[in-house]
Amino acid sequence: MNSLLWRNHDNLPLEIRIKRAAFAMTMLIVVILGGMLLILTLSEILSNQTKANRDSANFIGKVLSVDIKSQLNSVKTLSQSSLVWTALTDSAGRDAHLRPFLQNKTNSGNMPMHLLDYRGRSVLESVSSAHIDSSLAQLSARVLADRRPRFATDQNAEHSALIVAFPVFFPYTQDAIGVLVGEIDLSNNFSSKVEDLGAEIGIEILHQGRILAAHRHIDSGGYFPASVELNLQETIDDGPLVLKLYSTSNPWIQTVTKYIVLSIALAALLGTLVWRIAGLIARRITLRLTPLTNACVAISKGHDVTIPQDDGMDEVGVLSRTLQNAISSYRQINTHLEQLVAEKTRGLSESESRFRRFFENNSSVMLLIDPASGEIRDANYAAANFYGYPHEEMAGMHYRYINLLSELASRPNLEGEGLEFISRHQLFNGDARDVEVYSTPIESDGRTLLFAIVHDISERTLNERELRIAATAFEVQEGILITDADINILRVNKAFSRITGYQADEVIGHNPSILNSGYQDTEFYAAMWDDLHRTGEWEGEIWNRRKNGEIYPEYLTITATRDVKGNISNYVAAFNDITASKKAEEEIKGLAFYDPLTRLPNRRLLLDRLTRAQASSARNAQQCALLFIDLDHFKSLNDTLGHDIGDLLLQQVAQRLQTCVRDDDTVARQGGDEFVLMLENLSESTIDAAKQAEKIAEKILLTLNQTYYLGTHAHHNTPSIGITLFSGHQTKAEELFKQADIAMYQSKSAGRNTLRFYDPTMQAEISAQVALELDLRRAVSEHSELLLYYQTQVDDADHITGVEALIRWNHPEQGLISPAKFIPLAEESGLILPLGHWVLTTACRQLASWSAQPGREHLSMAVNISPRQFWLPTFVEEVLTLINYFKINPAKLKLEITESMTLDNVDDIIAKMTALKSKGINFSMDDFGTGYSSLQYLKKLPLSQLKIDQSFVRDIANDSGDQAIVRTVIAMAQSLDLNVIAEGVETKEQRAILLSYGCSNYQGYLFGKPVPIEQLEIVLTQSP
Amino acid sequence: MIQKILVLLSFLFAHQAHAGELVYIGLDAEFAQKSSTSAQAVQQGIQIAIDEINQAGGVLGGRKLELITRDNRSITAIAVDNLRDLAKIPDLIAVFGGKYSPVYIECIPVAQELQIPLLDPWGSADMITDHGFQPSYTFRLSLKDSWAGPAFVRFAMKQHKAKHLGVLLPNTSWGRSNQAAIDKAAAKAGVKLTGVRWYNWGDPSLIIKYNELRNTGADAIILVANENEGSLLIKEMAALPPEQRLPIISHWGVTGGDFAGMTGDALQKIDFSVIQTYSFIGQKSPIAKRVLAAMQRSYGIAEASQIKSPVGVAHAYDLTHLLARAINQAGSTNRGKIRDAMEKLGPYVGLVQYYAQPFSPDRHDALSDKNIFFSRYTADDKLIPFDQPNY
Repeated sequence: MNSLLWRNHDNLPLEIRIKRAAFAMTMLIVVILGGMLLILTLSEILSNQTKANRDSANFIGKVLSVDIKSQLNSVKTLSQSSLVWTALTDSAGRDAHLRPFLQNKTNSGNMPMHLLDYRGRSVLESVSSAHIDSSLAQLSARVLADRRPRFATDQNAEHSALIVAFPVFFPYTQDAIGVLVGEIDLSNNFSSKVEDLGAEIGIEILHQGRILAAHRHIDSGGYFPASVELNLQETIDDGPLVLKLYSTSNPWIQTVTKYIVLSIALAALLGTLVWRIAGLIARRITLRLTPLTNACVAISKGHDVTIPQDDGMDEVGVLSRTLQNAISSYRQINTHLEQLVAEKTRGLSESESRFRRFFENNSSVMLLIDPASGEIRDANYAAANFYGYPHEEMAGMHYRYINLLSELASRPNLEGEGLEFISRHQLFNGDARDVEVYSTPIESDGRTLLFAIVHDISERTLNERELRIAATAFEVQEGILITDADINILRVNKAFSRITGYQADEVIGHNPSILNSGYQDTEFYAAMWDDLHRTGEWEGEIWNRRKNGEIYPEYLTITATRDVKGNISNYVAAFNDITASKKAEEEIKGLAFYDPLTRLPNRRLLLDRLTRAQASSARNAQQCALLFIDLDHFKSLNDTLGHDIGDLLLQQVAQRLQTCVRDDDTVARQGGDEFVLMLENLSESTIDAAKQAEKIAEKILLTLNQTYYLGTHAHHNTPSIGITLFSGHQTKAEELFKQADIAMYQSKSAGRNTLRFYDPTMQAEISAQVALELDLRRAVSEHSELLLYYQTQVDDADHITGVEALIRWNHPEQGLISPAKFIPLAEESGLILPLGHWVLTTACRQLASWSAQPGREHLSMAVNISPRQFWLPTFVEEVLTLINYFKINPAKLKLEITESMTLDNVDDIIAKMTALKSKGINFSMDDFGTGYSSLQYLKKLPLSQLKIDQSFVRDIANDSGDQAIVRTVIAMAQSLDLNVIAEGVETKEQRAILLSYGCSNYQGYLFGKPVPIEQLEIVLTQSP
Repeated sequence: MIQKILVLLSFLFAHQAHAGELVYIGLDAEFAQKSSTSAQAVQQGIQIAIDEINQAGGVLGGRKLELITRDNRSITAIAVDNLRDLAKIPDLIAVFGGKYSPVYIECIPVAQELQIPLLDPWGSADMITDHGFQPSYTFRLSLKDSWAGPAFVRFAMKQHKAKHLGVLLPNTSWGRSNQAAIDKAAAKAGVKLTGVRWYNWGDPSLIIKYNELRNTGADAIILVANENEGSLLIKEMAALPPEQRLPIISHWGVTGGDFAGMTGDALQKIDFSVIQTYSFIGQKSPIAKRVLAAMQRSYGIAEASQIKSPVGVAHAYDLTHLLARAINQAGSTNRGKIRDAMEKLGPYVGLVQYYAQPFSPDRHDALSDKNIFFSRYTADDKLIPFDQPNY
C-alpha cells in the first residue's frame, strides 16, 4: 500500500509525499496497536464473564435439582412399596389402605399423587390433586411400555409442574401393573429458591425452549446468559430441564464501546496533528528520515521500538520527536485499556460475591468442606440454623461433629463430578436427622473444596416408615395411635379422637400415658412392655381415662413395627372402646375390678379369673388352689389406732402377699381384712398340688409375721389361712369360696397364725350352724324355747341387791344351748334385735311384778344390751316405753353395756346414755378391763357401775397381775364415784380379796347360779 | 294341531339354526405367573370335561363347547378388562376364574353388571359367594375360608396337640377372610391365638414375623400364603435350629404353584401340612380313572401323585360338567337362563363327590366342610393325604 502510494505519485513534490508517508505510517501504528489491544481485552472479558455466569447457573441448578430430586425420590420410594402393588392387586388394599395413606397430606408431602392401572386409567388420586392434562395418559402409556420412569412438564395459567411417573412392578411377574404419578410443583419450589438469592439476577427454567418458570424475567438483550441442565438422574423424555441465568449487573460491553469511540476520536485527532506536522517538515527531508522509516517498519511488525533521540531542530528532528510523542500517547491509551480490563476483572470478583450472597442467604443448608482435613471451611446461615450452632462456630468445625455415620461410610471424596449419599447428621441439641448430601468439588483460591448441599429427609424417611405402619393398621373403625420408638405420639386417627375425646393436636408429641386411668399398676405396664419387646405384640383389656375424666375399658392391641434393619421404629396401638358392651357397663357401675385401697383385684375380678382358671384347669387337668387369708385381730387395730392405720396395714399386707406368689397367680382383696389368693397351674396330682399350695401359704405366714411399720407405729400381725384345692368345674365358685372360708375358720380355731386345708367334715359343722340359725329364728319368733335365767347380785353383807337377767335357749333336741354358742349367731344374723327386745321386755315385766311384791321392790335388774340394739335410733324410746308400760322404777333397771360398743360414734352413745340416765336408768359397764377404755374416756360416760370381768376374778388369788388390775379398777371407780361389782366370784377367798380391795358387790356361783324365775323366787324367799 | 306342529317345527329349526355353532366358555386366570400351576390345572380340568362333553355330542343338541382363555396375571384391573372383553363374545356363556380371591372380589360387581356367570373352581374367600348381590352370578365349587378356619384349628389340636396357635396372613381380602374364620374357630375350640402377623405380597422376608409368633408361645403356625411367600418362609425356617421350627398348617395357596420345587430340600425339614379338598391318589371311581387317563393322554401325567394343583383340575372338571348341564337345562346360551338353571340342577355324580343338588338360590357353594382333609408333600414332590380321614 505504501509502495502504491509512492509509485503513483512520483511526480508529486516530496513535501507532499513525505507528508503522506508520515501520515500513513502513523495510522498504521494506530490501527495495529489499537486493534490488537481491543481483541485481547475483549476475549478475556468475555471468557471471564461467561465463566462467572455459568458457575452461578451451575450452583443454582444444583440447589434446584436437589429439591426436585428429593420430591422425586418420595414418589419413587412409594412406587416400589408393597402398599402400592397390593393396592393394584386387591381392592381392600386399595380402599382400606392406600387411599387413607395418600389422602393424608403429610404422607404425600403435599404432593398430589395419582395411581393409574396397567392401562393408565386412574385408580386413586390424592384429594388435593390439581388439574393434569391429557398428556398424563400419553406419559403413563410410555412408562408402561418402556417399564422405566418418565418425566414430563405441565404448564397452565396458575402453575407449572414437573410430572414424574414411575412404573409399579409386581414382584411375582415383574409386570408393570400400574403407574404412580406425582406432580412436583415447579413454580413454588422455584420461586422460593430464587428468592433466597437476593442477587441481581434473572432466571428461567426452560423445557424444549418453553419457559416453564421464571423469576425476575428480564430482557436478555445485551447480556451473556449461562444455561445448565438440571441434573435429575433420570432424564426427562423429551429433552432436559434447562436453567438459564442472566446477570442483571451493568453490561460491560457498554463501557467497552465507550472506550472504543474514545479511541477512534483520539486517532482522528492524532491523524490531523500528524498531517499538519508532516506538511511542515516535509520540506526538510534529510538522511535522518531513514532511521525513522526503519522504526516505522519495525513497529509495523509489532515490535516495541524506541525512536532514536534526534535533538535537531530541523523537520526530521521534529518528526522524530513527534513520532516519539505519538507512540507514548498510544501507550497511554494502552494503559487505559489495561485499567479497563483490571476494572472488569474486579467485576468478576463481584460474581464471586454473588456466589457468596447466594451461599449465605440460601435457605438450603450448604457447607464448604476441605476434603483433606475434613474441616468445614464455611457454612451458610441456613446450615447454622439447621444444625443449631452459632454461624461463626460452624466454620472451622470438623465434619465429624455433625456426621453420625462412620467416616468411611460418609467420607467426603473428590471422585466423580458430583456425589450424593444418605447420611445421618447430628444437631447441636443432640437430635439426629436423616439427610441427603449432594456434594460437588469446586475451586476456591486454587484449592479444591467440597461444596455440599444438605437436605433434611427425616420427614420422608418418616413417611417411608409410615408406609410400613399403614400396612399394619387399616381397621379404621378402631382407634389408632402411633408412636415413635421413644413412645411419643406421632399420629392418631379420627376414631381415636372419637373414643378418647382428645384431638390430634392435643396429643401429638405427648406420651400416651395421658390416657392412664391409674387402674393398672406399674407391674402391669412392665409386663406389657416386656411382652412387646419380646414378641412385638401385646393385647388385652385395659382401663383408660377419656379427656372428660371418664374411665372406660378398651380392648387394646399394640404392635411394634420395625424398620428394614429390624429395629423397632414405631408402636401402633389399635383399640376398641368396649364400654358399649353390656358387661362392661355393669362393670363400670360396679366400679371396676380393682380394690381402690390396695389396687388388688376385687372379688368380681377374682370370680372372673376363677371361672377362667376352672376352664383352663378343666383342659389341662392341673390343680388350682384358693387361699383365704384373714388378719388376726385386725379389728382391734382398727379400733385402737384408727382406720387410717388399719388401711396402711392392709396396703402393706397386699404388697407382701404379692411378693409371695408367682406372676400368674391372683391376689385379691375380698373386703375388710380378708384376702384371697388363687394359685393356678399347680401339679396335676392333688397331693403335690397341696404341697405346693402349703409351701406358698407358709411363705405367706412368714412374710405377714414380719413387723409392720404403720406411720409411727411398729405393729405385729398374724394371718389365718384356709386353703382349698380345685380343678375343673366340679365345684362351683361360690362353693369354693365357702370351703376356703371354712378352712380359714378352722385355722382360726386352731389358735390363729396358721394354715388349714379345707376338710369336708368341717362342712358338717357349718351346716349344723346354719340349721341352728334357722332354729333360733323360729325360737325368737315364737318365744317358745327362750327362757330368762337370773343370777343374783349381793352386797358385802350377802344381801341380794338384784339380779342379772341371762338368756337361755332350750332347744327341743339339743336341750339347753350356751349363750356363747347362739349369741354370736344372733349377732351375725341380726336376730339379736328381736331377741334383745324380748329380753328387755321380759326383764321389765319381772321388775314390774316385783315392784308390786313387798320385800321384792328393792331388787334391781341388770340387762345385757347388745351394741346393735343400742345403736338403734329408737333404743331410748323403746326403753322408756317399756318403763312407762310396766310402770317400773327406772332406777331399778340397770343396762349393761360393753366397752367395745362405746368406741364407735361416742357422741351418739353418750347422748343416748344421758337421755336414759336423766330418766333414772342406770348403766353398768360390763366386762370392764378387757377393752381399751381410757380413764378420760370413761369419765365422759354417765355410768353408775363398773363390772369387773370374771377373767380377772378367776385367778385373783394367785395372779398378782390380775390383782393389780382389779385394784386399779376399783380405785378408779371410787375416784369416779362409781359402784363396782365383780362377777364370776366362786370362792370365799376371791370374795375376801375383792372385799379387801374395796369391792362390795358380787355376783357368781358362790352366791348362786343363774336359775329360772321359779327357783329364784325360792331363793329370794329364803334369803335374808 | 297344526299350530302345535308349527311351534314344534320352529323349535326344531331354531335348534338346527345353531347346530354346529360353538358355545364358548371363558377362563381368565393367572397364566403368566412364573411359579403358578393353578391356572394350568383349571384349564386342564375344563378341557378334559369339554372333550368328554363334545365327544358325547356337545350341548344344546349338537353344539360343541370351546374354551377361550385370557391371562389376568393376577392383577385385578386386567381381570376386570378381560371379563368385559369375554362378555362381548356372543355365545360365551360363563367365565371361569383362577385361584386369586382378590381377583374374584374385584370382578363380582362387573359380573353382576354384565349378568354373566362367574365360576370359581379355586378362590376361597367367603365374599366370593357371600357378597349380597341378588340374584348372584357367582358359583363356587371349592373350599370356603369359613370352613377352612375350623379345619385348621381342629387339625392343629389333633395332629400337633396344639393349644396355642400363631397365624401368618397376607394383607389382602383373602387374608382378612381367613382371619375372621380362624378367630371364630379358635374361640369356639378354646384354642388361644397367641399372635396374628400380616405380611404384604412381595415382602422380602417373613422370618421376623415368624419368630415373633414363635415367641408368643405358639405350638404351631397357621399359614395363609401362595407359593411365593410359602416357599420363602419354609426356606427361612429351615435355616433355623430344628427346635425352633414349628409345625406349619397351611392354606392351599401354596399348592397353586411349584411349591416343592421352590422350597427344595427345605420342605422336608419342616412339619408341613396343607388343606385340600381332593386328591387323585387312591381314587378308584370310574370318573377318576377316566380323568386320570385323559391327564395322561393330553398332558403326559404318568400317575395320580404327579398332578400339580389337583384341586384345580378336579374342581374345574366337575364345575364344567355342571355348567354343561345348566346350558342344556336352560335350552339356550342365554346367560341369565343358564344362571337360573345352575340353581336348579339335579343330582350329579362328579369326580369330587356326589352332588344331590349342586347349587340352590341361597347356596352357591357346591362343596362343604366335609370335603376338607390335609395333605403333606413327600420328598419327591407328591401331595399325599394324611391317614386320618376328615378334619
